[in-house]
Amino acid sequence: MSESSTTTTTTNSVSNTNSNNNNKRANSANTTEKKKKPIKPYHRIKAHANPQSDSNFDYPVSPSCYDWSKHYNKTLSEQPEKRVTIADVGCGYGGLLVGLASTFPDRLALGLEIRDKVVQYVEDRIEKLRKDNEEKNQYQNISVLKTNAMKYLPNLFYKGQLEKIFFLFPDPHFKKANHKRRIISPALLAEYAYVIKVGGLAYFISDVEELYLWMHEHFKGHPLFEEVKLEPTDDPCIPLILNATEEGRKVNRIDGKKWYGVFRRIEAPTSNNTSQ
Amino acid sequence: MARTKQTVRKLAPAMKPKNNNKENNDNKENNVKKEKNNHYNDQTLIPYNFAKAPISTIQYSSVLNIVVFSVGDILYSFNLSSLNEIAQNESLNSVSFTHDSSAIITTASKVKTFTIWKKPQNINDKWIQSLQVSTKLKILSSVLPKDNKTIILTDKTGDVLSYKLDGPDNQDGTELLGHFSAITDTQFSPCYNYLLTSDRDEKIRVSNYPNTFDINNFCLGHTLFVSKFIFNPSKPEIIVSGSGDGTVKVWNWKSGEVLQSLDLKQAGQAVDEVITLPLAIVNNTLYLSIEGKSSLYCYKFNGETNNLEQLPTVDLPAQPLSYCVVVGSRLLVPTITSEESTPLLLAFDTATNSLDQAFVEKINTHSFAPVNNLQSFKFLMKIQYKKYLTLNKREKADSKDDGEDDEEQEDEPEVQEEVKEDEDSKDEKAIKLRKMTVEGAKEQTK
Repeated sequence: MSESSTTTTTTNSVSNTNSNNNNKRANSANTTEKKKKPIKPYHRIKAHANPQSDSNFDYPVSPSCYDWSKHYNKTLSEQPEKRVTIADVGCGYGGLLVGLASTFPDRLALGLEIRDKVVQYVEDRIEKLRKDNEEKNQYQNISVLKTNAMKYLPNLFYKGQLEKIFFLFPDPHFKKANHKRRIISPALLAEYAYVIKVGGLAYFISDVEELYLWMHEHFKGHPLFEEVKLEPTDDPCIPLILNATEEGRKVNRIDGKKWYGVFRRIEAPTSNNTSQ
Repeated sequence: MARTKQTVRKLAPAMKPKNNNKENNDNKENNVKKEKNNHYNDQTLIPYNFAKAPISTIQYSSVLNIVVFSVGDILYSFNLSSLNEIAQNESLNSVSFTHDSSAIITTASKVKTFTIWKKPQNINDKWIQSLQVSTKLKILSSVLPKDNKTIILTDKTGDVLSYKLDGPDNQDGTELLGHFSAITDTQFSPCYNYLLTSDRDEKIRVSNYPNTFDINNFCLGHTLFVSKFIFNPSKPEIIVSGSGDGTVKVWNWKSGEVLQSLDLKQAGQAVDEVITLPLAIVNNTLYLSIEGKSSLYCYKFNGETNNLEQLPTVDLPAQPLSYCVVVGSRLLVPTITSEESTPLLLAFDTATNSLDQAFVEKINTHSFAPVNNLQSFKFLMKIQYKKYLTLNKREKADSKDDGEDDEEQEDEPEVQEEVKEDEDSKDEKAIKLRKMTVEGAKEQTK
């Protein structure tokens, strides 16, 4: 049950905002209504979504068509050339994003989530954090987007745009017939390799050993990724993926096990076109 | 510039091949049941009715100077003067020549096989079946790499696999790449160093070959499914793609840059009403058709700017299918044979810009063995594209009885329903849900 330092900061900040909010509410009864802290149960929905169903998604025709200012208004008004370099695929309730905001204050991080209500919750949460930390100008570098990462990554990111990509506690899809829906598959890894820059890192973690082995095997089998052995002290992201997410903490509460892996995107082998 | 995805997607997996397999005309009870499941049996949705069997696949070998095509289950060769039966196989859906034209390879979607036929001594004789390989794929199309050792098959579900041509006769194949939605077209670049695949999700993916795990780039720009794409033989860096969004786009496929976008919609037409199908580029002239129209649209590439300039449109006696072959200066286009009198094949001479039916008269006047079950030709729908639009409308109508044995397509209506819930019921629901979580369970036991 060891909570990392980052996690504690996160929880701290959340509870701080809580008390702030109470004070403000007491003080300003007739001023404009303050944004309430989003309450998670209201946003809780079933843990699974079918990535193969066609829901309505907002997505750009190509990365150049997307207006990121609605996500990072403040940062982009100062540095309009800045691009998202960290993606959390299946960000869930946004625990990792909040951790990333302070760990990498100069990077833009984006959470991708397929479930509508969860996205709303994370939007509210980030909005609240931004408001409460307005004077410190924090949390301007994280945002969330409702999308299907299995389909639309190339619509959102240029080739080699990402430095880090996270797959934290993904849906295990135990049924063999549903293995195609798993977030890691040889076909999808090619797309992830496309959006990650050479040298960029992909992190994954699961509390389901079977799924961890599946992800590890597929990453290992992909020629554009090589494994990096990282201990929690080597990389500030490892404590985050272990303990910052809601799923991770849930596993802590029940003293469950977690397995993680990190892979680096490597240069493509010089195309030895035997056919020539 | 973000758009909301129209609900026009949801696709092909809903086509239930199981039903096709069992197709049995005299069992009426069965048919009624089938009609419930089989989207193709709904007459209102089928834009095509076949009065006779159409040409379901066609290829031309410039080495042998023969056209090979299939009608029904029989493969014919046409050496430009006489017509010969050369092979027979159930449910042929694609045919290709090996690069040296020493053999042809046919694929059969329904029975999930591909077959290699060796060229006989006398080219007008039957070709000799040398190997039949059963795969596990519902094969959509096939392409051959340069090495003459493998064949690359595209599966209906979005996977591309390679199979060895020298056996064994039961292979699993090597997965080359996959799309998360159905692939509509697969082709090699003229240099064979890239494999291009287009899909229902508006993308054209350019993968390196043989390192298909390495994506070179995507061609992004269409707003509905990509129907097919063709290369410009005189400018190998250019492809032209058609789509359900009513546009034809000219790409530099290596950079993913749109060079030109032609909108073929008339004023006031909705996006999903015009499906463009580029057929061929001959002499820097693009020939394309629009699904459902009996016309051939012609555009000339301007030599300097590469821009397309419209030439007069040619009226055709029948609706063309989406595939064709180029024989010299002629374009041979199979048609949708909606009437008994419809010619099977149209020959269009690009040199004179007019139809030259005398060239294919032998084919059109030949009396082909009658095909009993025209229903089985509904598989041609897989090659035409209206299904991507019509299936969706259908799905909305009967989403209730959907999903009994549908592996690909389970809907998740619960999520949407929850969104619609009013504010008042929210509280109650939230508490209920909380009990289902770890902390909720703890609270409850306390």
